Amino acid sequence: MTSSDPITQEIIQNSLQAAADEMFAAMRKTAMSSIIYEVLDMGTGILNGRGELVCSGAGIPAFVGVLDKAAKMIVAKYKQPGDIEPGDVFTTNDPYYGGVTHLNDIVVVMPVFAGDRIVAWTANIAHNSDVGGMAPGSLSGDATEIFQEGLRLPAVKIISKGEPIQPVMDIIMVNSRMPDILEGDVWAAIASVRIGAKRLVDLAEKYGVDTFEDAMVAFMDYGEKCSLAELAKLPFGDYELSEEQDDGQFFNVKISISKGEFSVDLRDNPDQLQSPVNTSRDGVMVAAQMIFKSLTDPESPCNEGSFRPIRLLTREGSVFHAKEPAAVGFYYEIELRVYDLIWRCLAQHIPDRLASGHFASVCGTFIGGIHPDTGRQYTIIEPQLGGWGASPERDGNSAIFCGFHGETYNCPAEINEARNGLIIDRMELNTEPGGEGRFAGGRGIKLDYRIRADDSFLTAGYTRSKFPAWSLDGGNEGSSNYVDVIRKDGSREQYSFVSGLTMNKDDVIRIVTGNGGGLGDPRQRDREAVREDIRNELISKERAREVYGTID
Amino acid sequence: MTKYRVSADIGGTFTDIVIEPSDGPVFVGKVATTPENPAGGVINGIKDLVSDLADVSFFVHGTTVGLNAFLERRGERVLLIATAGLGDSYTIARGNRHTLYDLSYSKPEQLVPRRDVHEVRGRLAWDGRELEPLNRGDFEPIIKKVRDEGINAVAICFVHAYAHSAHEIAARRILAEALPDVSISLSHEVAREWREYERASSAVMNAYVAPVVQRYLGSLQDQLRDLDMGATVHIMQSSGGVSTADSAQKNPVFTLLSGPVGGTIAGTALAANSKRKNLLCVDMGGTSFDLSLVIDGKANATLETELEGLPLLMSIVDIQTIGQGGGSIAWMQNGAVRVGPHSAGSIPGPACYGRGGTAPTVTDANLFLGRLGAKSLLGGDMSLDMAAATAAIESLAPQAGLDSAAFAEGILAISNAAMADAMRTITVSQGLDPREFTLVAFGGAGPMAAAFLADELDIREVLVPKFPGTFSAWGMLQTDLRHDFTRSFFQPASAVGMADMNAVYDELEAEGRATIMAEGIADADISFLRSADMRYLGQEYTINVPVGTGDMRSIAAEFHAAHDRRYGHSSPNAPIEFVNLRLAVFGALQKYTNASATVSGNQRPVIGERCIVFDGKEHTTPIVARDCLGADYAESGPLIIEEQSATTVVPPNWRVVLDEQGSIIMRQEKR
Repeated sequence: MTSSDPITQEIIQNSLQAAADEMFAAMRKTAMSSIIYEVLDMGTGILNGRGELVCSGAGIPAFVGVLDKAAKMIVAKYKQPGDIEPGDVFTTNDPYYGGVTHLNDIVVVMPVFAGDRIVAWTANIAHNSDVGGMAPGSLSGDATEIFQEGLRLPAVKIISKGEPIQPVMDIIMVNSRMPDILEGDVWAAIASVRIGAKRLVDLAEKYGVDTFEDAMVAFMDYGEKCSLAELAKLPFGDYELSEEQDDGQFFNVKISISKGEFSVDLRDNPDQLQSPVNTSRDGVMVAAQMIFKSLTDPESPCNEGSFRPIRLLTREGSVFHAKEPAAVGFYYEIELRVYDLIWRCLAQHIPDRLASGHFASVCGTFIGGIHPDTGRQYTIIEPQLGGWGASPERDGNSAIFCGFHGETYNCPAEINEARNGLIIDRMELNTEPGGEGRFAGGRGIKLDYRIRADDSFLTAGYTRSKFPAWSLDGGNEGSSNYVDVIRKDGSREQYSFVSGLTMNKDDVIRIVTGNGGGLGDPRQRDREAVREDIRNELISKERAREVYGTID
Repeated sequence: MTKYRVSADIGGTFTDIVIEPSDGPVFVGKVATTPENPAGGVINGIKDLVSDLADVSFFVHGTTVGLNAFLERRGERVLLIATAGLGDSYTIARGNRHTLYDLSYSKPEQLVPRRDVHEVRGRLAWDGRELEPLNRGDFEPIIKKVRDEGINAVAICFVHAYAHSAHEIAARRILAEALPDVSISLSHEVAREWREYERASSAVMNAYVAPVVQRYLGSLQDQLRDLDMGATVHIMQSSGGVSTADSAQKNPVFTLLSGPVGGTIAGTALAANSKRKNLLCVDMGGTSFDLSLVIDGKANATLETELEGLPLLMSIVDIQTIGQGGGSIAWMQNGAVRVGPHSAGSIPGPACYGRGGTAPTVTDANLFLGRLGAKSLLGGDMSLDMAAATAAIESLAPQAGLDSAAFAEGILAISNAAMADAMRTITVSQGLDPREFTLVAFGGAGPMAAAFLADELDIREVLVPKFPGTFSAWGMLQTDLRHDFTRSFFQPASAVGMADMNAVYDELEAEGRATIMAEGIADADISFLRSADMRYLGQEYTINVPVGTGDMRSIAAEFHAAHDRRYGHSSPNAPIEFVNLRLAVFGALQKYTNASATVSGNQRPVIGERCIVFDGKEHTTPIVARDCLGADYAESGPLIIEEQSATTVVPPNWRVVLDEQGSIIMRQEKR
């Protein structure tokens, strides 16, 4: 059979997917931080020689579109003969150097050689617990410049021809408050890209380099075809939305859907802030890619080709296209705002594909201090679960991660208590009002962490705290995301953004995440469904009567 | 007088029975499964083959009774009791979505609705300190509800019970006093692992299937006793061991996957009697392809699995399944050829079955290429429709831009590649080199694809066992009694000595000995296998390392080596820690020396020839009957070997011989 036959290509494409999954498994099983091994705040991918995404492992969708940008940066930066050699490994964590996200996310990239030519790259990204900076855990709402957010790794080589460049490794480790754990996690990432690279070398040898490269090209073309086929089914037209944010800013989007193009215009938006709530343009691109993929063909493979129809317009110097040295620690909340803005803008026009709004915040929660039993420093980094919106056929899911995350797991109480030395007093569904409708939004959660040692800290940055999840077609809005701090003496404080707040023994951090938006008039809700809600104690009889009308 | 050891593999459609007489060759049977009274079909099947059930000396079976009850949601209503404040963690689960971009994702529905989850106060810390005593008063309304609503099964999962079980044990005492007839499942007895959601899910699963499995086992035992079968009834466990039916009633969830593990255990039996110790076992039927490993003679096990999105923590033979089989349908998607995972099943079935199927399947491609004969299936009892297969292939080939033969070979190549990827996933992704394995192929379709699968992974040797269609049932006769015990043992390796570990192992051995002696095993037939779950300090996932007679240094060395093998790196200077100590206890069962069937080796094995396409070229290929192959048979491909339940394809450049157990051995010849 020739190199262009569809059978061989299919076989190579499946093997690429298997390699990306294998890289993911290797990382998960050897990592040291619960944010990686338990929560799976990580991703793996395979890129072609130019750094274009060919396929990705599981993990979180928001990381899928990151790895190609990192690889492309390295391809652009290292152009001289001998700059890149077999066995080299590069790293970046800096959004101004292809890192896309924030400094905690270390990307590791390895070239795959066939003879003296680079035919592919393998890449890995994961959230590291501490990379230095002004605050433990490296993220602080008080940061005004990226210099305060940790060590910057501007697309540099860390392994040369198979041997670690020890001075660079030393610089990385000495900058972390948790060097042992960082070292373990970085090595897990290196092992992961090496396993993937080995697999790809075998593939190229087995089928020949030309066939191998042809298969990657065909795979991306196939991704494009799948996207275009579904794009053609969307209602063509121009749509726009202006939405007020929790902090009083207005975000604006214009979307234009036409044959072969999905255009997102974000130029008319506020200037970048002297706070860490900015994002790189690449970050906004990732947000647009995520919602575009969900809208078009969520089942087919996800690669560079899938995203070709997207056209993104941003304005340099805005919150959606931050310039160096803007701080970006909480970039993910901005990314989510763009994701949700596009979703909301299109929802009423494409009701068969888009549900009501969800809690739409990572609700990143950072708690740290000294483990009272072991004396070791710990840092918890947890995204939180929340409610998703109702769709025209059914209620929204309760308690799953936001659209930014995917194959992501919450941290069990037993692991948090043993590893991190605090107590989980409570983990329950949020039964606050909100999200009622003909179909109801899913429930958020209420989660209590009780602190066991003095001088611990809390950092959090939640959006959708003032304006809850939006509803459709006469359903009720959801409820909001926030943190209650309940001090030992019973006094209470409420936050949505807080940095380095001191927590002492027996203080309780209560996380409350929002219910998703409802859909349709609550009075049209199926009576048996209402009775089931009452039996499951998700709503009281009295309130059910009030919102849904007569029950019996 | 002839005695019989008997096994039965009760599948969804057929029950396979294998009989091993004390003085003759093994023989097999197949009867329809009777779902309304699962015990009935088995008993009828055995009665057909053994005239007097009093002559049965040993009986073991694998059953999907529990699994089907789960899959069809016909289990018992369960009430779950959880630690105060954390009851919803069962309903909430872990918050993940398997499908990253699918906005219509729907969370799996739990077996216990929120209204049947109840909380009681009482709290232990991670290190076992009691933060709050168990509140007896909180049980009163629960007991009342169980009584009033006639609930028969209760599961209990308290935080940190994996290490500190005092509150769960106290809770059982309180409930058992008030509710003597209710079945109670404790999370730490079902799954002694941390992660409260997964442990609760496991305990609930046990409670959910317990009454169904218990009723089935009780009824089977009663009916067999009425027929004067004195032999103890045994059942396969998901771990690959066998236990008595009485013992299985305590934690019925351990038998949930007792059917499919038979194939892996059969593999271990092959390994025990030959020099082949590493086997990759593949079972290909009409709709699915199951894979498992035998490593160094032992079935490869895992400690967690998932059923329809619900987690189950238990020692279980690691069986991966993908949707590829003889019925897998080829289709086009935006210009690309896809095969499976949709299957034509048995209705309508592949186009060549002539039952109305029009889409080309893997079986149609095999028939079209001549690898399968129109009269090969079921010894000629079922004939296949070549014209229908041809029409199905020709309907799609132009869309792929290929001629029909290339397209049919392409269908097989894609299907084989998908299976090969699954084979790669369970080997190389664990750092195992497939070239060090012999491929064991069984099930109706396995022997047809085996050589091609081996070629994909550079596996040098393929084995097709005798009776490939009933291999799983045969495997059940080859196993020993087995029970597993685990203790949490959170200790840095630097802080413990062998004496500390031996003290725990001694305790576990005493427990194991008592359990297995109660099943009638003599002291001399008991053996133990010690192992430890270890990791680098700070890691979460562990590697299970065998603990032999060596010292701590040799255990550490084994761990570093295992980590390097599996993940490609190790850190010999980094601190390591223990997490769990495990003990498997085995009770050896008496087996008969299998007399080989006398093969009429002087019969002419060639029964015909067909023109078959291999790699785009037509080859005139002899067809031989397996039953007529003598012990010294040796031949080169291309060749087709037919028997009642399967067809083995020997491609060009492969050579075939029989081994001392009568298995077909295929090896690739040097090109």
